[in-house]
Formats: sequence, C-alpha cells, structure tokens
Amino acid sequence: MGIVTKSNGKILMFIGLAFFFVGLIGGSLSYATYGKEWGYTPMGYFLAFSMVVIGPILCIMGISVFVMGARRFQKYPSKLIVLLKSGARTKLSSLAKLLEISEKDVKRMIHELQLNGESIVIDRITTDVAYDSASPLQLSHLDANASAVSLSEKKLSSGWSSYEKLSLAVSVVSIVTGIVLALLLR
Amino acid sequence: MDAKKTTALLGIAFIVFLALSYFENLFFFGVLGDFLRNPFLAVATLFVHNVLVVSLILLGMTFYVRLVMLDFFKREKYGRIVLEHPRTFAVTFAVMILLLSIVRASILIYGTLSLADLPAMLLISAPIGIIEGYGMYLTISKTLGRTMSTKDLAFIYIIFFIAAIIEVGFINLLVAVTAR
Repeated sequence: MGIVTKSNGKILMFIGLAFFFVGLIGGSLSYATYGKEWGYTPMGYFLAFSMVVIGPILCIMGISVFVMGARRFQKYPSKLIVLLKSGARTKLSSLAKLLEISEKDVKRMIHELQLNGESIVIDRITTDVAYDSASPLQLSHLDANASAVSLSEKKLSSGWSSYEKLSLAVSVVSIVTGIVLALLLR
Repeated sequence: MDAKKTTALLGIAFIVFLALSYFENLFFFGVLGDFLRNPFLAVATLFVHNVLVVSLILLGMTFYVRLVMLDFFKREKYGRIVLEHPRTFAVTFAVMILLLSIVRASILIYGTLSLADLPAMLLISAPIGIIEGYGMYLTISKTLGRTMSTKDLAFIYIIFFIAAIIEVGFINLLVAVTAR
C-alpha cells in the first residue's frame, strides 16, 4: 500500500492540528506574557509562526492522503472477487498477502461484499475464504457488524424521516423563541 | 413525495433557517449580559441557541447526504468518501465548528479577536467544549453514517441541555470567584 494510506492520512491530520494549536497557544501565551506579538525573540516568533503555518498545510496534506488512501482501497473488492472466483478456498492471510493489505481490511471488505449480495463465505475457525453460494458456512460464521453496512444497502427514503421532521420543527421553534426572548430583553 | 423534491425542500429550508439564525445569533449576543443574570432564563436561552445550532448542522449534513445518495455530484470522485468514513470526518468537523464558534463568540463579545486572551478563552471553554463537542460529533457521525434516529436526536438534545446547565453554573462560578 506504501505511504498513501488512510491511517497515514489520519496521523498527518492530527500532527497538523497539533502543530497549529501548539503554535497558536504558544505564540499567544508568549504574547500575553511578554507583550510582543507572537514571541519575545526572533526564534520564538519563527517557531510559533512556522507551526501555525505548517499545521494547516500538514492537515490539508493529511486529508489528501486519507482521501487518496480511501480511493486506493476501493479497487480491492473487485480484485478480491476475481481472486476468489478463480481459485478454491484460500486462507485469509494469503489473500491479505496477495492484495498487500491487512487481514482486518480483507475481513471488512468481505463483510461489505456479503452485504452487497456476493456469495463469499468465511470460516472463522480456519479463516478459509471461498466464493460459494451453496456453502453451509455462509451465515453461521459471519462477523455481523451492523455499522459496516454499505451505502448501497441503505435506500434513500422518498419522504421526510422522523428525525428530519423533528429537527425542522425544533429549528423553527428555536429561531422564534430566540428572537422573541432577545426582543423582550432589549 | 419524490426523493429529489424532498431533498430540494430540505436544502431550501436549510438556507432559510441559516439566514434566520444569523439574525437570531446577532440578537442573542446583543442581550447576552442581560439574561445571564437570571440562571433559569440563561439555561433556557443557551439551550434554545445550542439546539438551533445542532439542528442546523443536522439539516445541512442530511442535505449533503441526500445529495450524495441521489448521485448529484456525478463528476465528483470523492463525494462518497465523507459518507464512508463518518467518524473521522465527524471529529474534524466538530473540532472546526468548536474552534470557529469560540473565535466568533470572541469577536461578537469583544469586537476583536485578541490573541492574548485566546489561551484563556480556550481553557475556559474546554469543559463545555468537550460536552458540546461530543454532542456535535454524535450528530455529524450519525448523520453521515445514516444511522440517525429520533431517539438519538433526543439524546443529543439532552446532552445540550446538560451542557447549558453546566455552562450557566460555570459562568456563575467564574463570576463569583472573580468578584472576590
């Protein structure tokens, strides 16, 4: 997978945020203490200013790496299906090696494919994976994770959902109440 | 009703409420000092204000989710990534919203953003920021993950009610300490 992975993107994002906050707080603390902008020495100024500038840059880089990593990950389900359809039972670890991703990612991918209706079976004990619609293993050893439901599984409702109606009603009430309260207090 | 019409109506409602909430926001900060004298009124007003904020976030995010699900961004390759990683983007958006709201509040109250006062403001806002940040995180992650329900929304509103009580208590405590 190389450097462009989702986890590396997340790390970059957090480093960027940390840089920004440390630079901002450090700079403003020194300003509050010494009464000069950003720092009391040229070095302090340089450090604080660099951190505040570098932070968002790192953050943007992190988001880009995260998005690219996620996009790269999207090509693997089709590869996985081709691999499984072409061969017999394969170990989870072998699949992870072939695809050059972690076993956890392969497992998650298989689960999402199963939810999309693909007949992939996985034996949780032997970690054998196969493409077989007739296998009795199919539902007995699934790692049922409700949160991993793919987007295609969820249909878009045509009407308003109850929480949307509630939030709309609450917004109207809040705006009216807020304005009336403010006018009364004036 | 057709899904496209529902989405369009949701978008229009969101824009109208956003415009109205701008005026509500101006009024709110105009009388901030007055209602803080009465703790019950302060809790009610802060709660109403925060609930409006979270409802608008929810409406905006729901609108985006609906647009992506309707395949509105046909040429956009990355539209679905936000929906596929709801927790990561929820954390990012929650931090951004909190930081911007602290800066905005500072500008509205003091008329300018004072760098010298920023660390103190961040420290004072931290306890409430954590609670409200959690509420925002839940709202955004559940909306982007399309797992939001009325029960979840009620729970989020309760979080903001607790945050309003703590906020008023904290302000009164700070006022009492500084008055000594």
